[in-house]
Amino acid sequence: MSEKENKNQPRERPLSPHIGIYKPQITSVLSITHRATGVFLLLGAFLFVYELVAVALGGEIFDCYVKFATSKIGYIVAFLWVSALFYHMLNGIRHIFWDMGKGLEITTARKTGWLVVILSLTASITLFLYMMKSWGVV
Amino acid sequence: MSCCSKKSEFRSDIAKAKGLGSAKSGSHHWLMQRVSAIGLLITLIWMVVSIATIGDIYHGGQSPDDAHAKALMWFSSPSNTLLCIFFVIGMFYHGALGLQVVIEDYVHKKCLKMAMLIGVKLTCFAATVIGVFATLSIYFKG
Repeated sequence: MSEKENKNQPRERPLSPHIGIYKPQITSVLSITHRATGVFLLLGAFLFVYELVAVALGGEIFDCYVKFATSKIGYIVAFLWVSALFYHMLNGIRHIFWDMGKGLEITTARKTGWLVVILSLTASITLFLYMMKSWGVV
Repeated sequence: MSCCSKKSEFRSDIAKAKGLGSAKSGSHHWLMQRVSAIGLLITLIWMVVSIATIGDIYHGGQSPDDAHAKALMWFSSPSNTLLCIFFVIGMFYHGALGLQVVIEDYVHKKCLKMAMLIGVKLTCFAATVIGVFATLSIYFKG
């Protein structure tokens, strides 16, 4: 390698451990979960549009979709999407309170964080059990 | 809100009018994210209630024609159709804004970042149009 090439390529220098050693806390975990659920919800949104197209076209596409929706994996995906929705919604409300300058103290943020987790789990399990019951699946 | 008065101290009136500052139009993105969130919140609460009271549409063992008929029935009401349209538009708008931030955070190669940003926005736009079209065709045909 010529000296010119060496100058242009920055040398790979070692990094101190960061993500691997940082203690996961309610604040950081909820923050990344908010982002992850957001991305997952968008993927589910595309599936929702597929469902709309299936209902609109009817016939074979719709049958195919119903087979998926009523399969085990279909119910699992539906449950995961609904849970992600509740979590993202509740944590989003928490974000909006922060935007207004409220609840930014660490003690409050931790309490509201746990509140969001508990509420979203309860809500999604309750709603899903209710829907499964009305569908006659449970 | 305390945040509003503090912000105006740092910008001249012309800067405010032109939307200048280091974030340029970035604060608009931030605001639209919140506005669309509120819109989606309202739409979702309505939608969850509406769908949860629908009873069995797709449950196993039912004939697909029955399931189709029930789905069409839900869409036959104009308020449900409107709800669905609000939901589709809101979801993809809010989602595209959110995904934009995610891509800007994690993708650093400029050409890849540009391509992904444009790709995501166009895909979300396409999905919105298809979703609205599908919803309207269910309402007007079925």
